[in-house]
Amino acid sequence: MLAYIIRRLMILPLVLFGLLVVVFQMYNLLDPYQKLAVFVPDVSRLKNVDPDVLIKEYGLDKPWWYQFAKWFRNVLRGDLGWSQTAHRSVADAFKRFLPQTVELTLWASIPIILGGIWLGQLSAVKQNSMVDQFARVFAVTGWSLPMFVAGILGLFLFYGLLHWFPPGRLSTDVGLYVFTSGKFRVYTGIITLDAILNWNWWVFADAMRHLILPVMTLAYVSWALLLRVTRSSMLETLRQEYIMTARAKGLPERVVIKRHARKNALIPVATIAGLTIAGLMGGLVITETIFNLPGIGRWAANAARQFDMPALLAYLLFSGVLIVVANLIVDILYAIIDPRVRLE
Amino acid sequence: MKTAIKLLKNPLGLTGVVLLVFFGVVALVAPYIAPPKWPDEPFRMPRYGYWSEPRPPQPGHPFGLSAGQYDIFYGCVWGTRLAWIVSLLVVGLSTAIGVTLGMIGAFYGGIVDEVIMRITDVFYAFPFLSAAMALAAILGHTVKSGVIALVTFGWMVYARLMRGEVLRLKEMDYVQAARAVGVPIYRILISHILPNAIWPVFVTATMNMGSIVITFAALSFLGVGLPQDYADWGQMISFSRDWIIGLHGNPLAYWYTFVFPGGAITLFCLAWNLVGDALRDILDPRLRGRIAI
Amino acid sequence: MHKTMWRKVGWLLTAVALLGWVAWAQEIKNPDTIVEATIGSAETCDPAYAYDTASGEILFNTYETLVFWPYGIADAKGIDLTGMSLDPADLQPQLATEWTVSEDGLTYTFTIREGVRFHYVGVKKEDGTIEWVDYDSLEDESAIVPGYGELTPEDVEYSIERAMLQDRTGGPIWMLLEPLTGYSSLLDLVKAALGKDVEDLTTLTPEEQAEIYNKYIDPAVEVEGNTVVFHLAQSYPPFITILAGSWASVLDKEWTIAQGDWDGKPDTWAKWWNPGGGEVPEKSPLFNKVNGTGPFKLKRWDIGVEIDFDRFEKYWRGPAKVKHVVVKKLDEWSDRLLLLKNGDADIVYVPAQYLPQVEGLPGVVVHDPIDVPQVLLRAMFFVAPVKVEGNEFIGEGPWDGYGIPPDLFADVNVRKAFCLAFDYDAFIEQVLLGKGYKIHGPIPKAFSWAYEEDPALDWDYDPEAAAELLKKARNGELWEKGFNLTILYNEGNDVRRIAAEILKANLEAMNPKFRVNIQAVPWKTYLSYLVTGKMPLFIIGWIADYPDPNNFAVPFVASYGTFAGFQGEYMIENIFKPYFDPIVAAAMATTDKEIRGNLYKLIARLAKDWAVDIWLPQRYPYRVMRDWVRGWPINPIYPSPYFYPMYKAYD
Repeated sequence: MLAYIIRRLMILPLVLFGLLVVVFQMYNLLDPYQKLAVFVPDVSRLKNVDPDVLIKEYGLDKPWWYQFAKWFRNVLRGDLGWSQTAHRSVADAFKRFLPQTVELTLWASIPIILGGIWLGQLSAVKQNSMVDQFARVFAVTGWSLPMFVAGILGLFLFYGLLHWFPPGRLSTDVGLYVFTSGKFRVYTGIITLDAILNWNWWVFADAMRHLILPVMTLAYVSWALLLRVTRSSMLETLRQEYIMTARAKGLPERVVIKRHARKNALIPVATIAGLTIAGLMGGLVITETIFNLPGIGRWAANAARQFDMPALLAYLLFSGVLIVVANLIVDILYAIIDPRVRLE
Repeated sequence: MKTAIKLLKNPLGLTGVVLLVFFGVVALVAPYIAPPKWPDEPFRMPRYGYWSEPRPPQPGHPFGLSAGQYDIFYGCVWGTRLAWIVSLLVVGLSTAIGVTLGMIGAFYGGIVDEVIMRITDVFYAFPFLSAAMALAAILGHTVKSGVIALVTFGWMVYARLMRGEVLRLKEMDYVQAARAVGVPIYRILISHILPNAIWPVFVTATMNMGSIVITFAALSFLGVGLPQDYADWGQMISFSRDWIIGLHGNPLAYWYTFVFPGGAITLFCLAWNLVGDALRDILDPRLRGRIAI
Repeated sequence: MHKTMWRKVGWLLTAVALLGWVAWAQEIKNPDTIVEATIGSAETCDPAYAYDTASGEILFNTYETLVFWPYGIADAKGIDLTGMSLDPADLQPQLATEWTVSEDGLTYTFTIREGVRFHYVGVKKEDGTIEWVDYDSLEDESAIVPGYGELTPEDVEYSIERAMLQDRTGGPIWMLLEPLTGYSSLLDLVKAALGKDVEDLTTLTPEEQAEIYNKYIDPAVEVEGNTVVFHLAQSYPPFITILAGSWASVLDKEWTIAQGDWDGKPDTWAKWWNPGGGEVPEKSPLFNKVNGTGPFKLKRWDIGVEIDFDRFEKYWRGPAKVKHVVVKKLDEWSDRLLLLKNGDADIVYVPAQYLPQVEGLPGVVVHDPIDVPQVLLRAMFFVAPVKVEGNEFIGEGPWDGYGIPPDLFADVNVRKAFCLAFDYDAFIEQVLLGKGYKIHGPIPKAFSWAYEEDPALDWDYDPEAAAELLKKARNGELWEKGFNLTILYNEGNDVRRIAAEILKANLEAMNPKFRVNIQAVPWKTYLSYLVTGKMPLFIIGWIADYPDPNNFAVPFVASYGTFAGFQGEYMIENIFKPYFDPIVAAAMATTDKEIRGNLYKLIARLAKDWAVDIWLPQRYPYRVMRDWVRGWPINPIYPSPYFYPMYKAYD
């Protein structure tokens, strides 16, 4: 097993380097003039200057590996550039936007786990019951209804028609209290968490009220996937011999499922963690855009639309590294839990 | 044949097939039910005036006019055709790439396999939608760039699947026997392995058709997909976004801008998922899908 | 089990009902806070660096200038435009109490107001170091170290000199350099003064820096007793209006130095020149710090998300009427609409096309139109000739009917035909919803003394006349072969796209061989095509920096102007240089308003004769607000709301 883990760890830098190359190649698709425009914020900078001179100056006509090396050096130094869509340095933009994204993801994980995994195994245990039928219909519609359709529908229903939830991140008075009154300490930037740390339920309730709809929208898609995987995995496990044996031994069904089936059925579920994160990253882009939440997803969408290359490249790198590392951890854990893997 | 009959006997599968047939017919007869204004650019939606405010369904415009006075019926019909073209192209191309690479890797093994699988790993590390969004933005606003973006970050699942299948089949007696008597490798691959290994890939591809359409529409929705006047469901849904709150006293004032394109894309994906689900149950109950948006 | 489930459902419903009730609550919401929901992100808080309206909003409410534009009021109670003016003669004193201009218009003397304090003042700590404290919470007035946070003439001198020496690329400081030194950038000045070809001023030796400073910068702005005197290098009639802009904001010298900015010495300034190459605003020490004399203090700037202001309690004119101002940046229109609807935002930016959605909302007041001509302009520019090599918009090689001949627009008749092919009335009716007016020439209607009210000067849509002209063009070859023209616009800009579409529809209806493609490209790409001269036709808009016709004449028709300079070699050499440059220069050489007005009227006539651009009709401004908004100032030159006189009440 140790050999397996070491092998995985050795591959890691290789994959990360590949990631960098792919990301850079995307940038490299631009012609030198476009690259120049990416660097230059204003027309006037290009006035009275021959663009070709500037292209030479920035080395934009050099072979790709030369430019790559230059960029790579900057990335290693942590200098990711200036994001014109965020009006901040890329590093600062991450610092500002990440808490919002983390908050959204954290809260979304609750319905995802409850609605996905719990409902999934429930529907497998009670195969063909009402719960099962409901779960299956839910899964297949969840799979089919695009997130942006669901989001707009929610916006229309709960914001426009019913006036249940307000848009934005915080109400005006709460926002002023949190950020300018000096009576509230911002520890993490994750407002709900900070509200708990400040033991301030007024702020917490307001923050939650604004979060409910985006959280549900974000959870929606991962829900369907997890439900599906959990259900089929659970069904498969329940057909295994040792479950039959357990039942034959006369153990109550509840115990059989809790002690024996659930643990094993969740192993394949864990392996799709990487996929779930990848799906969430995509989901964040859409959710944050629709609900106007200042997170990294919305930032990335703006960056793509407005050709903010430093931001876009940094975002891709970030999400790539996140997924690679998450997959690595899952694989290693998996290898520890399930000895069969090591044979591969 | 047996598969097809089984599929039609499954009520959910049948629903899916019926829906697909419907969408297929719409796509085929699009030039007749919604004659294009510019025959050489049929996907460009004609606009009826330059007002911004949408107008409700009326004679001549059965689904109404969306923000910017684009005919919603026209957009939905040609959007259907576009959805077919895009999903078939993307799934076809990514399957072809994935299958080829997976097969080569698994069959030759060793360093070839290692290199291919590491490349797969690298591409797997990108979140599908985000990466496609970035690439589409860089390539510019055309169908071609959207397709390239989706294929670039979508072929890996087929490669892995194919590799697994081939690895399994490689050890089978008949393949070993064929190798032993000196049948050329490409013949083994094409006539022995491919026909057997392709089914799981086929099922996965079916299940991905819907999610490809969703992702492609998401690109337009996010503003990095097609040009504004292109008949695309995602585009039309994004038109509705700024009007969805409705008017005072009439929150449903602009319902038609959202319901028709939103309904079309949802039903289209639903159809593929129903068919895919049923197929999976029939062909291999152990297959799992991959993530969509 | 069923029992517990019902109980749960019951709780849920109660919670939902409660939430709904909270969201519905009425009365004046947040009576002490003005909330604005708008778009666009401020770039910086450094007055010398900022050149966008969003940054202008911060500077406009926190810093002050020597003079100030008077305003009318357009609030929920009604519109009163009596006080409003764009005439330099009506400029109001702000940090200057009075001023005089010499006979030749080259010397301006401002008397500086006394007793004005900045938001933060310097007090001496026990260890002798100086600490900057909030003036509002300072009890002992005498603790202030003299000059530290007190407005002095030296502060004014320092602020202007610092701006001129910073002169970041693409920034606003050309407006100060041009009148005060005669050069439009510091780089040009240094090159001319030292006779040396430098690109990077940070390489200058201390002696060279001192030479530049002592010879050109220092003499331009001098302190004499309680006055500050500006010495102009050339006649510049609108100079005083430039001093009302955010770039001329007055900083506290001591505070600015304490932030790590220019120390005021003649031989050190190059270090602070062009921070971040004009690309990274963060590199300026004042990037996110504000210490002004204005009515509001910057409390928090969450870039791109929110700006929070607190009022300056000890503001020299007396505190503002509301305690807080919150500016929320929300790109999604539906979010802004919802905030307006439930009273969480008081004033909201509404793109014109969405006005139908706010009309008739209870508790919302819409003023549309407000009869104030705007100081902005939009046009389609003809480029002749377009750059040929590597240009995908003009077809392959020699003109073959596909694409266009590169010098298509060098023919004045083609330009005229295009002007005639644009449907101005459809644009006004359908895009501007009937609330617009046609314009001619580069000078906006707002300058009534420089604008000729003559409908004969406007272009009218006339497809027949346009067809006639096109039939004659290139000896009939154009009509015969047709063309395939690409018009680009920066994506997301709807008005520009629709303008292009109108032109497309009309041209294609004229001759089936005429084809027009409309393409959206990201702003960055658009700029790169613009500067490389690849676009045959480009659409762009201009907002006034200072209200003077010169600020429009130069970019639109001077050969060295921001837009005209991109209209191709032919247009520059054969039209702008011989016909327009001399008039633009002549109009600046005199302070006589009548002569200037006539010269600008002449420019508009010439612009019509040469058909240099297609002028897109203008829209009247409008305003959307909650019905409790009071005292909202209006003046078209303001970059943003001026919050000082605003409050919320039903009276």
